Amino acid sequence: MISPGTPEALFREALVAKEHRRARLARLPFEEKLGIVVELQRLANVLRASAGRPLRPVWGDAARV
Amino acid sequence: MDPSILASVLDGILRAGLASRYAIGGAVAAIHYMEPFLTYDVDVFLDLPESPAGLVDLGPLYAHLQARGYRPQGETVMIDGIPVQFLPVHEDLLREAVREAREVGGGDKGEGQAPGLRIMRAEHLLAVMLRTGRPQDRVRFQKMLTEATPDRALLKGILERHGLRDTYLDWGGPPL
Repeated sequence: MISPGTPEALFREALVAKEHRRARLARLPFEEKLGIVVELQRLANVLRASAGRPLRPVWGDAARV
Repeated sequence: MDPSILASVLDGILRAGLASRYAIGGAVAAIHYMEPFLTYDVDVFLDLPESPAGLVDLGPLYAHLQARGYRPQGETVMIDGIPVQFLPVHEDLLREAVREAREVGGGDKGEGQAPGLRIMRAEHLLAVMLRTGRPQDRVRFQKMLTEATPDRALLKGILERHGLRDTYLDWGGPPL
């Protein structure tokens, strides 16, 4: 929850929150991180599809076909 | 993705005597220490036997994997739906990085001891980024310095042994 403040203060607060989020993600167990990579691969394919670009294989999908 | 399948396949390569050691490097190894980011390949560095003429042959490795149903695709081999690129160790920094890699995961899985994944140390990954020197290495280097909290004494020793201290300072690394 971000409390009201000047635009500069809110911006600084948002940057600090972003750093905390990065630090939290960096501390996740390796397996969870790999799961996030797979989600990023799926998201990237959504963006590729919307831009008419060819899709890239998502980890594990080929093994399940 | 289940890392234990990849760990078993890589352990099988060692057990078959096709390589003396391996370690995962590149983006997937960096993700072990950092916030996850988008990547597609797993880079596996192998210490392979050399012929008297100093040549290495990936043929036996590919034959071993194909016999177990893992097919080549371009410059990679698909293992459990993941493109894995096998890279021979070709210089002292990588040889040291592979030798001193850490085992992650594995342990007692109820049916005996399951192998973990051998992953390069953060300090070696930073040194490899300095040596490789691509634009993406420079960006990842800065992020990794802040997110991975490397052991500074260890990093200093690696940089000095492999002549990377000046590049480290040039890339904005803090004093060690």
